[in-house]
Amino acid sequence: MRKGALLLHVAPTLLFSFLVFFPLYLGFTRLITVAELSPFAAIWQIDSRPSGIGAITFTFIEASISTILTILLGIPIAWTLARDNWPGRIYLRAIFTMPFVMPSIIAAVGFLALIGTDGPLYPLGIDLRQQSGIIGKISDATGWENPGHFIALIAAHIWFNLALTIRFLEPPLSNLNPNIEESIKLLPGGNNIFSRMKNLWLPLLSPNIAAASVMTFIFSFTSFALVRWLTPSSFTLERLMAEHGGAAGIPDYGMGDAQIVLGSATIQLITIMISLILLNWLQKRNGAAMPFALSKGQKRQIPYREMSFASILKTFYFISILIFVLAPLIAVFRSSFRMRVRTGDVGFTQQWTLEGWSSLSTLSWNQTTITEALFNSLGYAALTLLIAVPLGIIFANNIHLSDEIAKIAKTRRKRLFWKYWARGNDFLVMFPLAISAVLIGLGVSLGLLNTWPSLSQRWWFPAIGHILIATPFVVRSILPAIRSLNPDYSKAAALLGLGPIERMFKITLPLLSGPIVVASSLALAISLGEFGATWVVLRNGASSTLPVHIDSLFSKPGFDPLVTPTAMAGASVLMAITLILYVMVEKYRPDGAGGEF
Amino acid sequence: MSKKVILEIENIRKSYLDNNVLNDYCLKVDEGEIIALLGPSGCGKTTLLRCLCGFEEIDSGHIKLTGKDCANIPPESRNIGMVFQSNTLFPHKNVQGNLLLGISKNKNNTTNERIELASNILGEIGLDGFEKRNVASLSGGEARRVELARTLLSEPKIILLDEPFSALNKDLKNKLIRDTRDLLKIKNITAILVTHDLEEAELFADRIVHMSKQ
Amino acid sequence: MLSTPLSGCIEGPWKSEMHRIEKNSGDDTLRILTYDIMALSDEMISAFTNQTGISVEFIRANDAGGVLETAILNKDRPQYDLIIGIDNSFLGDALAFSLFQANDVNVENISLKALSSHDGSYAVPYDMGSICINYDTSYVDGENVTVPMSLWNFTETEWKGKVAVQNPRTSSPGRSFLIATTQYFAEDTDENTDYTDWWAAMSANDVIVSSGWTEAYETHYSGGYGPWMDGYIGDAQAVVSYCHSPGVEAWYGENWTQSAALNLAGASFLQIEYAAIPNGAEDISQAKSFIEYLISPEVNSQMPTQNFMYSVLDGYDLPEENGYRHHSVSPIDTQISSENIEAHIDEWLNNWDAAI
Ligand SMILES: Nc1ncnc2c1ncn2[C@@H]1O[C@H](COP(=O)(O)OP(=O)(O)OP(=O)(O)O)[C@@H](O)[C@H]1O
Ligand SMILES: [Mg+2]
Repeated sequence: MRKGALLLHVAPTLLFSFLVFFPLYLGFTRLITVAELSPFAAIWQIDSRPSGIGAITFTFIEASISTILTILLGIPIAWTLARDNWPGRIYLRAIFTMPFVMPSIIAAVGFLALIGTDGPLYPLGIDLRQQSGIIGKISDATGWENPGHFIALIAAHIWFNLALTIRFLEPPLSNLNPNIEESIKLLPGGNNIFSRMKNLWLPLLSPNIAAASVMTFIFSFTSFALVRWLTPSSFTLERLMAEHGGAAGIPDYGMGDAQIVLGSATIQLITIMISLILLNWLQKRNGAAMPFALSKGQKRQIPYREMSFASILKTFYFISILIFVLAPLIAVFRSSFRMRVRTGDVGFTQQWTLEGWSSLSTLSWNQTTITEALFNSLGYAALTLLIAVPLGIIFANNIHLSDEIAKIAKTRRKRLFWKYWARGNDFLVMFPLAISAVLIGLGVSLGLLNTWPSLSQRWWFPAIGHILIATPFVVRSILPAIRSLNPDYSKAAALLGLGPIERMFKITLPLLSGPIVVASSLALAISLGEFGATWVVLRNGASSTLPVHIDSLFSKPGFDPLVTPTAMAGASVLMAITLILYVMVEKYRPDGAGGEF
Repeated sequence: MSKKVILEIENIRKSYLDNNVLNDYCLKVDEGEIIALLGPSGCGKTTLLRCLCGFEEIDSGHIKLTGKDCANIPPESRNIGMVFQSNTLFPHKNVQGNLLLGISKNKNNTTNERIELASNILGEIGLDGFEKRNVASLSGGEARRVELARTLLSEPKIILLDEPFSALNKDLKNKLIRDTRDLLKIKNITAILVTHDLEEAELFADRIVHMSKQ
Repeated sequence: MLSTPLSGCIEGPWKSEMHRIEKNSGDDTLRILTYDIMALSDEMISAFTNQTGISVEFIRANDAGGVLETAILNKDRPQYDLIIGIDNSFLGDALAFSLFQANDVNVENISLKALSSHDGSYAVPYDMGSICINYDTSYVDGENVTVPMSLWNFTETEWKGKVAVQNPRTSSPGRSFLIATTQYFAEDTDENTDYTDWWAAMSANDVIVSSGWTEAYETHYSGGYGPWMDGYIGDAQAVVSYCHSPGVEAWYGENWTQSAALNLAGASFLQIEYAAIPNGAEDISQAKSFIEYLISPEVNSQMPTQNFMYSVLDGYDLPEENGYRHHSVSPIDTQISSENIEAHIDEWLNNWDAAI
């Protein structure tokens, strides 16, 4: 390999490992110093702190229930979308998978608006916040305190992660050669639904169900914004880390906090590592791919029949899910026009108003208005785009190249080296996604900021977290496309006398333009919506981002009735930008791409 | 012994949008009879087999199995076996696992009995010792034979064969056609073979039925 | 700026000296470290810039604790010339870390009350307010439930699960109230019990502990504006807040509120917020002029309506308008020095953890 090519291969890996592991390493060593405890000893400290009581149990229970319900609710959707020829099927899929790119703060305030006293559920007697109505009865009967909060949190996690189940399960279902399914029906080993389940569907789907489950579990396990707002009296480990992270890095001052953060971070890292290893093992065990239909013509989609019982049931289910997916977003928008106004002898009522929107650029909080925060966010997003997208493309290209080299390598040693280099790089870029935003933020703030405090005044500083979190999404959208590129194009171009750089710009990149648009839009959306890492880093930092600013507005004393509608108007703006980016993603998403984001 | 009619196809029609594939098609098949359906590509042979299995709903006409109209009988209860035109071995199971899917648990109680049945039929189709082989590693011809064996093991009343021999070389093809025919005759299974090769049809079938484009 | 975003990660402390020189070369910008609550209006800031020609830039922390944390992290090489928003519950820590330099701001117009915790030599008070328990008057109807005469009343069954407090580790009102309780139970007539017993009894009485003020007041408390907020639960009929919070409620509620502050001697803590010049600040005169502006009568008299805190100047009380002053309470606050707080706060926090 030539020197330039080698550099292009090694430099991104080194840079990215440095950005991921160095802050984490610094952060952990600092925590251990301040806490004066080993990471494992710190685990036992969590339960002895008031906010930490039950946090470990809560995190595991909440994440498990979220995962099981998300998968159970998602399977029928993936099944029907893949196999039934519904009118407007692709639009439905786009809507059902949209929540995944929505900023978590939008989901949090959306669900709050939905279940609050001004929301649509309250008049129906479904009061998820207080102990009244149906929920109150459940609480009285079971002695379970605030079941409504827990239900709302689980619902929000399902809302977020349904997309994963759909995206992971739809491809194997819709690409399955229909003759496979038909042939098993004619055999004794598949002549009833249970034996088909056992012999066909479970083996076919289990690797993808496992992947969707592990991802859903990790995302629910590391939930912060939703837990912070929907279950105020319960803590996930992620929330504990975020809210105690501020003082945790200061020697002689933050010992208690450092112990909580260190313990939580340790459990979280171990759990996530175990989940990822489990996932890898499950996918290897069920590695054999089903024969997929070769052409579209071979796919047989079940035509939509208007009157059958099954299709009425499906229609009903789909409409319910549609309402479920859209409701929090509509609630955010509606709330931006609602303000409490003093009326009558006692109290206030909610009334319609435009003042929230007209205060967007005037109501200043912490010397920042929503429009200023929006421009900060756009700046970070642009920076993320400029760095994460090229970095992700280079990574994807390197992983693909290493795989290719491994295939043609002459010696076993070389083959193994390149294979593990490819897998190692793949794992490395996915790592930030798995270890959670707050952990990344803590690495940056406890590691880097505590070592070099002046960094906190650099405006670009929070963008480091955004870049780390956006890069995996870029790689995931580019890698399949690079893999499916026909190598003949590049060879033909080489024969025409184009050099490697020219080939890259004239042949490969234009062929990848669709996936690059997808990757760029995703990177922008991820950066704009990023919450956990920024929240932690901005504790003592430069310019607020829009999601963090919306969060601060909601944490601001709300004596002034204008605060809520203004914050909701800001949230609506963020939502609208994300929606536009999502439309770009859907429009340029390559056909048949699945199992990726 | 008077021949019983096992399958009656009466004036069935099947069309995809404006493509009339089957138009008033009729056919009667006796029990134990082996039939070859001969016709050019695209004339509707596969479509006919799919209608017989119940994977396609017919637009009009009747299909009767042992005298009963089977319009409302789902594919899995028609007691029909089919070897598809494309590969339908399950890649997550080995050869033995695929064959075991074809053996009814009700008739063969113990696992050992079922494994023995699978091994026996492997011998009959010339694939001794293939039990643990990964199906992806089989050659085209071997895979067809395993599929055939899997379908035979399920002991259907009627077996439908959609060009199972077309990918084989001539010697192997002739041997397999003869062996299969013998097996079918021994077990008294009715069969319909779809092909567009006249020689193959003559070697295999008691009767040849021609199909043409509508 | 875009060209070097990543190289910055590896720059070490040795470089910050250079940045400071760059930063200060002839600019008239005053950098202020502060936090969310600091609601200096844009008009007040631009008036300052107009008067002095000094433009102002804010560096933000999340809360009073965050201000202290940032200040400790940047000790001796601060990126700012002024720190606003450290209160007297944190001041002891800040002084123990020697974060501030002595100043010669004239404090003679400042009330004795505002100087009670610290004399102004290192940190100048600019606003204050007492922290105590607020209660819902529709629950405390005087018949079934009467106005508590002692904090011990809150450990009785009528308050079971009905009191919301903030975690003193993550919230400064929570911290202030914890400090008040340590003194209240030390000074009361009963010598066998102290604050740990009361907190343990509160814990047994299902006290609600929230991580911040907003959650306690907006989400749990039924007496304030919470019932009109999305996240409202309303399980608490008493909450730790400012003694003038009912006044602020009335200010926005056209003289209507059903919240009242509990006037109980020694059960409240006077929170005083300070402006201070960090050690290592470069432009001391700019910082000083901002402090003087902040405590000038024109600006400081507006504290009740702009920042919802009391003015520190003699002779300025809350406005009468909309019942602001009428609904606010000025109890006899507990007396404790910031040194005393600094010496004991770790112990109190750990005991609090253990009691809850
Ligand atoms: N699902 C379908 N939708 C629309 N048209 C179909 C479908 N299945 C088959 N056809 C059409 O029906 C006609 C008959 O197809 P069929 O598969 O039965 O042909 P065949 O006789 O089996 O041909 P071959 O010998 O090539 O297998 C063809 O024109 C085919 O394109
Ligand atoms: Mg065919």
